[in-house]
Amino acid sequence: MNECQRCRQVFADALYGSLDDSRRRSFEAHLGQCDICREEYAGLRATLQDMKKRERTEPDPAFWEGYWERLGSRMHREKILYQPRPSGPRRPSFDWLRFRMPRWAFQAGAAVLLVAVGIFIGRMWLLPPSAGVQTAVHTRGATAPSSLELASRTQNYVERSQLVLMAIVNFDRETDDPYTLDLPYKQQLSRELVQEAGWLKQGLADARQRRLQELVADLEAVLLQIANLETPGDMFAIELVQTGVQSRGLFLKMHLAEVNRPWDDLGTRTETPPKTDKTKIF
Amino acid sequence: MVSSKRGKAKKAMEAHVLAERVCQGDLSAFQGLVDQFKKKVYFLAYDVVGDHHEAEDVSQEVFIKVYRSLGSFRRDAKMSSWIYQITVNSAIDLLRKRKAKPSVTLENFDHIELQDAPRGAATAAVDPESSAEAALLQGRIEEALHVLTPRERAVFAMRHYNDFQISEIADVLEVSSGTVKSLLFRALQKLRRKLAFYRGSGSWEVNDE
Repeated sequence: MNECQRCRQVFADALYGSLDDSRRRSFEAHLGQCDICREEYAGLRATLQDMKKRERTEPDPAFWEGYWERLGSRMHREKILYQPRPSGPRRPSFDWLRFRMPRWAFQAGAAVLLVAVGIFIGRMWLLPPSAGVQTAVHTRGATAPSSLELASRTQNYVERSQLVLMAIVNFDRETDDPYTLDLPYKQQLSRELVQEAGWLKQGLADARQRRLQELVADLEAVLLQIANLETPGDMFAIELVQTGVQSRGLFLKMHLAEVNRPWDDLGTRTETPPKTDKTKIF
Repeated sequence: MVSSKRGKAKKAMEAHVLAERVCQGDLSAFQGLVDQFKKKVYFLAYDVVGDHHEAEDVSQEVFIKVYRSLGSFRRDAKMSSWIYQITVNSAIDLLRKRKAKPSVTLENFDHIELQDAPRGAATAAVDPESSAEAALLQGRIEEALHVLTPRERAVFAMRHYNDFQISEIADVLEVSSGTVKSLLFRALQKLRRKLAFYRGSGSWEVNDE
């Protein structure tokens, strides 16, 4: 590296006053000898001076006086001020009353909740025995999954993985801000999916669903990479994930899985209930 | 210097007390919090988005997000950094959404300058020639800022128009000081090229102070 390159590397430090004495001395000595670097540095300083001439128009005092009122009315409009004001001499708090639900709304909500719980219980306990679906032929004790459960969890796994990967692959590191990616959430989801993958691979191996098993394993590898990303701004690691997704052809595989729906075969492979039984229950 | 540090520490303490009260449902405490930060948030947003009305929109969004998320705010974290981080992210988001919109050009600058300032911002009537020159200079500077990416623009605005130290910017953006410096340097190089273009075309001469 020649002197000029070394000198240019400390331009930013020199401009923002973070050069220590010894570096400053050698920097100034080089500027004294090199016309090109001196000119370049002077140009940057002049630009800084020009940019400091920017003036911004100040809003008048009325703008600031009405600021809280405008903000408050927007918060009311957008129903953000849901909390009651605990005390205050200004006026009685009607915010709480305004957003209080009528009694019938609670009753309707409770009814919907009851129905939902009923459906949930029905799916969890009633469907397998009444439909006659037992665990697959290759069961391994009490923990072996039923075919239907395996089918639905596999489908769920693939769909959730697709969502995570879409967000990562569509992220453009040139133009997008890493903070908009919401990486911590994606990592949490990836960790959950990685945990799920072990169970699925076992189940799919027992059910001899080799392709689905491979897809789950491929997804698991990439999700593991995402779960282990260290910092939200680690562009290199994100790029690695993007390359991994492309090189494994994961989107094509997921798309094929979506079209062919191999989990449907899985659900109907062994002692599958007639479809009419299923519709009766729901 | 010491008194300024003490003042900052006191304000930070006040902000935490206010936040605590807001979490207990005290809306007047939230108003206090808004009063404490509204100018800095507004001007930071303005310097990034370059438009007064949009700056107000962004600043309102910031306070709404603050209000919604105060419950999950870590008490050991620095509140001002958190609020400025929301501000910068919201302003950058807005710039990205606005990508399709045409940027400020000299042709429409005069028109914008007259409409832009909210509710009677002071524009002193002075000598028409010097006022036109000043408007041209301001137009060139605004236009030059448009060559920066949203992130570069945010960092440049924080450092040069809002008096943030490099370490403070690093805190807000959660990056290293080195990254901040390299963003600033890249921004400065782009601005230099843009301003040199004006000088080269002979349409603008800026006298260095």
